Amino acid sequence: MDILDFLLQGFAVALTPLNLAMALVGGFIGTLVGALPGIGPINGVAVLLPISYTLGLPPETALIMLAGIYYGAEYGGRISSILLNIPGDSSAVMSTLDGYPLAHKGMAGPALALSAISSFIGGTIAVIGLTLFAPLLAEMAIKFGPAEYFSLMIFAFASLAVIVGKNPLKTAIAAVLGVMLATVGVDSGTGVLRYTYGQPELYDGIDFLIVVIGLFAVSEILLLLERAHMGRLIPVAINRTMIKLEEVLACKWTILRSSIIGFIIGVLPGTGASIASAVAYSTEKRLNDSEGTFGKGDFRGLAAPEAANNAAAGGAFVPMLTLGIPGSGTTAILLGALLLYNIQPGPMLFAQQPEIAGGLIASMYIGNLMLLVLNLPMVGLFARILLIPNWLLVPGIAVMAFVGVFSVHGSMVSILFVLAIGVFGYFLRKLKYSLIPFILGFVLGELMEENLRRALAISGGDMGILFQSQISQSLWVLTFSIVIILPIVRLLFRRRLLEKQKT
Amino acid sequence: MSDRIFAGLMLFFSLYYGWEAYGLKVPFAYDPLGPRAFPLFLAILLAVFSLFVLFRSKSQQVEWPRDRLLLKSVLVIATLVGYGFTLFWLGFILSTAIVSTLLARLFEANWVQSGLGGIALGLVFYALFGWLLQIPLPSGQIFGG
Repeated sequence: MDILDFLLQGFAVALTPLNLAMALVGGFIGTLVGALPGIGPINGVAVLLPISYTLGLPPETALIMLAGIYYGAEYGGRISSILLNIPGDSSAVMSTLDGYPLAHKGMAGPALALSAISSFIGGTIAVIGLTLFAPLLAEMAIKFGPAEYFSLMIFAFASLAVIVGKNPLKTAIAAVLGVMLATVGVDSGTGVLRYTYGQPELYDGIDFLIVVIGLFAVSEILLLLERAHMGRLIPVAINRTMIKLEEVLACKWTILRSSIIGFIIGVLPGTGASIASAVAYSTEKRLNDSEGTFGKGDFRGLAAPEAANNAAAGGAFVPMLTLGIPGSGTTAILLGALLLYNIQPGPMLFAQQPEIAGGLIASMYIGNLMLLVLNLPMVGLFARILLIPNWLLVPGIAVMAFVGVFSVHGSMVSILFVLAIGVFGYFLRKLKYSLIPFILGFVLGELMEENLRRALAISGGDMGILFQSQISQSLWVLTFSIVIILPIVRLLFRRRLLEKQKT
Repeated sequence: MSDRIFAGLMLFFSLYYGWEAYGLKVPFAYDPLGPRAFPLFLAILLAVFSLFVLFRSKSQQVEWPRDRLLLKSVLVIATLVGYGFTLFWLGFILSTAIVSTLLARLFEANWVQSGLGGIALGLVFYALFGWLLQIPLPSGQIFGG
């Protein structure tokens, strides 16, 4: 177990006062950047990476600070999800489901605290998993070919379609629309232009940022206007700022289960964290939602995606460190940071430079810990964002959203596009279509098509490849049981319940 | 009723989307599926789902904005469109201040609040993004930027 020794050594390095201070600074800046809607973790790390490099810090210190920024930004993204219903990045999407209702019940403080705690536990479990199973998991991730990915995504969609929202049909339509939007742009397989209408801006496809800002921020502004006009805007009270111990303890199994789910799914390169939080949420909803409180502000509904997504963020480091494949957008940028310091992640890292692997894992852990230390006392302060009057908050949201789009694209067309998507999102929300499947469809759509086509290219067009390996087979069985068996069981259960009530 | 109208529009959209996919000219594909199959499949899926909503499901009552609220909603969007157009022309600070003032007015603040809030937002956000985070923001064509 020499990796354990190196991990301890890593901790020794990370715990020096300078490094701890930088972890704290990183966590703080990251939280601030992540908290601005539209400027999610990816942009946060991307913007701050050159700054931390130019400061001329020693590599391990810079990496620790980056880890702090990374975790801070991930956490900051939750703040706008919970308080404003605007997710900062795709993995924060599921946190709006119960986080926003909680904030509107006056529980913004406890919700933010729970989010920090479950993120911390998820992150901790991921670090333990990373230390114990990294090489093993890397092997598993290699076994995931295109066919397995495709079945995993079908599974993710299936668990969404049945569970999110009351109307599965509308969930399915929203998901299909999201996938359709993802087909815009150059087809990576053939170079054929699809749905671009001669607009060069569309050749690369539509950026996630544009879709998420339009869909969530712009539609939220319109709905805020409506609620304010109808006098339905209940002033948000802040009942208390701290979470009670028993509320955390009530979520302990949820957090534990979701962390494990998150970690395992997070290992898969691609969009691990968003699938992980979706699957964790739907699992918990299935297991615990006997009173129908999920989606209306249930602590467990917030703890599940938060724990899963942070565990997945930790899991994403497995392919990055062992294979050199980044598991998410943010890890891709962190990979760039490592290369900047002449650290080449890959199969040889654990074998040849275990001290760096150990140091990295240790710094991740410190970053995660700092976040908890830093954010728990500030929860009350963040929650006060809700007390800002609408006439100041709404222009603020609008400006931040525009700057977010502008920092990435800097073109008029993209800004008009954001508004068009926003109006469409408003119609979807008015008609009770959930935006969650739409945005997940958009995120996963491209990967889904790519993997399907790659799989069929391997088999020469034989659909059998999708059902060949054990991994795909078990995923298909899971999908099948969710879509077909679960509703039947539920129906029988309900009927029995009705009979009981009669007698 | 709104539900069925939307489903009808989706049905049309799926036909159009499928038609567009069908018309793609593919010079050469490395994979057996090519770029057409997946969108066509999506189009069929959406068409089937829309038909279900159109004919089967119970329609939902939707309260659409009317009169003053409708006007205000349109004005909010128009203001945001205006933001997109003036951002490059007037520069970040000025156009943010104006747009924030107008949005604040639409959210029932009085002129003094709106004006002060708008100017404050313009300056604070410029300090935050342009200066602290070093995001290149347009300085405005009328100022020679």
